[in-house]
Amino acid sequence: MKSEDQTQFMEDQLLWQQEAAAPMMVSKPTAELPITEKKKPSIKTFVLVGAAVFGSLIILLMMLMGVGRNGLQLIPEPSPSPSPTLINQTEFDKAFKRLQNDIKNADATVNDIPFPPVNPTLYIVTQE
Amino acid sequence: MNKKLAYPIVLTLAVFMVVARVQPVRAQEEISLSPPQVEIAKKTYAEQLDVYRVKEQRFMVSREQYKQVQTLASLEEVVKASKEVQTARIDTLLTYFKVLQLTMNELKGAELTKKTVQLERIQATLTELDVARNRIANSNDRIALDNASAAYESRNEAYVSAAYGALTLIRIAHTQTATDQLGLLSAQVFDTITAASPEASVLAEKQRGYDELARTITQIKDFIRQAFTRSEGFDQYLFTAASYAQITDILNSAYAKLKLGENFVKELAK
Repeated sequence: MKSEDQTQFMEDQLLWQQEAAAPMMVSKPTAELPITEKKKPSIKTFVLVGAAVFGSLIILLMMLMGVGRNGLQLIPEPSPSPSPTLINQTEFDKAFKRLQNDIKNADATVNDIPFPPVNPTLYIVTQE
Repeated sequence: MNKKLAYPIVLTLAVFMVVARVQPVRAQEEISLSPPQVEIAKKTYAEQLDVYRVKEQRFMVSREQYKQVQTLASLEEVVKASKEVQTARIDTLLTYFKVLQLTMNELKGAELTKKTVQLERIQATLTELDVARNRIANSNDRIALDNASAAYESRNEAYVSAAYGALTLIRIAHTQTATDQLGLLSAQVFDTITAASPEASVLAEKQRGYDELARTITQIKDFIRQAFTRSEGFDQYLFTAASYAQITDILNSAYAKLKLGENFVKELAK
């Protein structure tokens, strides 16, 4: 009994004489599959991704440099304005009261929280 | 839009937003606790110090009694008193350092790096005191309690140093804040005077007053700088009450000038 994929001797001989060619027989399931060409990422995609990553790094670097240059220092509140605004009497009274309070806090002779006067040597038996 | 393109763009935006949010470092952001919390902590501290004093007195009496009678009953009494007084001492210090921590958190006019250093020292001290408290809680005899007391004594200097280091920064920052406010207000007053276009003689007089005020502010800033330099000169781990006193001596001169400036600005505004 001869099956579809069996080859006779003569056919074999002819096959050897022929030039190599792509297989003619394609299994059914494979043949039915849609042929999809695997797309390679285009150069445009590479350029855009690269630009985005590079942009992120540049932004990060600039931000870090900014922090480094400013030295992470505290900006006093309120920070003195370079061009002071004009004030009326009510505003002056309010600001002056605040100044008086700030000056009161700046009195270095007043320390309401000195280190607690605790005894550092509380031994049951005196240490030698 | 292609998904492959969307991810890096979203990532870029996310990085930008995160960094942009982190970038502005302001004193205001450090403030997370309202002033009453400091006042509550101060009140608790004062109460705990009173409790400590009572316990210390009781311990002294028990110890004296034990020395004289040397009985197991008196030993038991003094062991109990020792545990109580040592716990009260640690509790007092814990609350004290919490007061300092709250005060530092609300502090304006200090450099963030210096403030961070002091806050870290306070936090380390709080952690250490917690460990010491547990040790006392687990000590039940004379030897263990005296060992706990020896451990405390060996660290007392470090606690004093952490406290006075923070107090020094607080003092300098308060002087800086008052100076900033004086500078701001005097400039506002003078600008208001100038904008009102007074007579030439009046304006000249106000100008002289403003110049004098500016010189006073410069002198205050010099004192602040001196105080900073002096504080930097001390070993930060051997900061004592005496070191603190030297800084406050300089800041007292700044305070006197601030009072003078206060009068000047009031006169200028008339």
